[in-house]
Amino acid sequence: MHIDVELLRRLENLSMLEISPHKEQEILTELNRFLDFVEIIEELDLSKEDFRFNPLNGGTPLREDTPRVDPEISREILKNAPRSADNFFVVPKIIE
Amino acid sequence: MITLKEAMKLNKEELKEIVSDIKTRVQKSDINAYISLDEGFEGVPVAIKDNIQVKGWNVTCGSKILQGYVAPYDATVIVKMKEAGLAPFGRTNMDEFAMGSSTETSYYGKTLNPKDKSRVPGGSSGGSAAAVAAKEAIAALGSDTGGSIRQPAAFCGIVGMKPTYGRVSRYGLAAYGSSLDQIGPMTQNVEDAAILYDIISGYDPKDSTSARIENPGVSKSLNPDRKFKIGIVPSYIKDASSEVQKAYDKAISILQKEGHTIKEVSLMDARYDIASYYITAMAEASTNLSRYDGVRYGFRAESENLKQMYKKTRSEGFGEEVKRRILLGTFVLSSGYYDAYYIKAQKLRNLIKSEYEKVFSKVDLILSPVAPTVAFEFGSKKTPLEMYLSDVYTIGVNLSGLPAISLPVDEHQGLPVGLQFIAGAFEEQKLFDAALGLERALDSQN
Repeated sequence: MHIDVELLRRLENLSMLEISPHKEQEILTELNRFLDFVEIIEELDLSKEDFRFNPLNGGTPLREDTPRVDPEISREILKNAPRSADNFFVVPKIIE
Repeated sequence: MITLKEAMKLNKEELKEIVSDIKTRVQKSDINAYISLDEGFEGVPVAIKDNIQVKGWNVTCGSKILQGYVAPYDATVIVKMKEAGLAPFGRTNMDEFAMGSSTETSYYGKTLNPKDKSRVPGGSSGGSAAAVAAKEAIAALGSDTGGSIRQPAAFCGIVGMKPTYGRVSRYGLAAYGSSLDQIGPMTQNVEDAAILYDIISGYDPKDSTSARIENPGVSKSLNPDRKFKIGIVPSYIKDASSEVQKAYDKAISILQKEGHTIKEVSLMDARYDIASYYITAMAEASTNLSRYDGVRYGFRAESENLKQMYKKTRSEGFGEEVKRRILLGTFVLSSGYYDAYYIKAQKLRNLIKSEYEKVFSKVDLILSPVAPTVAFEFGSKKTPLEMYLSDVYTIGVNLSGLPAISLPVDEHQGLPVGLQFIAGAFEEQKLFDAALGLERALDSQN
């Protein structure tokens, strides 16, 4: 597998990042170096292994579905947000 | 520096003196262990890694993207600490979003290893480790996603412990790899680690992955005389540096003299751990870090339209290593590549976990190196992959959700060499008992 410039652009779009043109080659080299390394997985027969993994044996514990809210948290977040007004976050215009 | 155990017996006035002493030390220091000396609480001061929420503090994960953010609540570990009479004191430096093994990727610049300032303190909890080692903190909290408590502890010559996944609440820990992250103690000695571990651990309904099982605590029943069957992994050691091999041999001979049974065990080539770990961690990181978009908190790069704002904020706000991991994480989760990378890494993770389970049916503990070398020099890792490979001994523990403790065992030209004990899930008592026994035996030699 090899990530080329076209795939890199797609990944930038998916992850909402922009890589500056002078960094492009360097980052492609690093991404591909990593992918070459993880090829070692191919040496193993994993056909019998489950693809589902849970770090807790027995799975995530169940709990009652009770709503809980701490209004102070949203107040604090809004107060310190880059821009907010009338209990909303303010962002650049979405609809022209 | 006074130990945590001793400090917990002091009165308010005495503690004030300790705090002022710490401030003086930090002001005179050039190692950059702390980002800032935030305070505001009464009690025994404990330094906090910059990714754990303390209400009212600018918790920033060592990143530009969280500049201006104010934590609106306390992490569960902080609530528990305050209840026990401990006070969060100072935010410690870290690799940006805990992504690194050297604390070089922080927005606030690097932290120096107090044992040798030309060398890294390890990472990502490098600030916490350096602060404790330099007597700038009584104790500290760190977080461990792939060794981020144990490796800096080993590099700086202190004790660092990663609890079983689910033992300590992650509520209020900024998420990096959610299936791997655990908060843990970083202390001057094993007993302090046990005390701090007892304080922060236990079931928490606010963390859906918190284990709802009994948590009897370890510090009151510490027993350094217990004898264990300890597994050693000869196939692991051959790639470690001579200093680490020497420390390993030294520890084995002490453990034998102390009456433990040593048994050779085998684990699969740890390079597979690295592959499974980095695919998993990057995938989880790319998802977790999607929340940093400039809308709700922290840094925003103003733009004409929303999409441009997202892109500019993230491109200017994240550092190089974080971007690399987000891009790779996005790649391994994206359509067409998901099965070949992410799914295979999860299958491999199951295999690695079952390998550990097999070993723990034969032995109580595993003795392992923490890092292949002593603390390395700044700039000596030439590529990101070279840095990832240095995590070879620590990440199996995170992939399998196991507890482990790193403690200083030897020294090479003034640089500490740490080793770790690994135990089965929720067997923290064994871990602390064995570590305390080894620490006592080492002390009696010196």
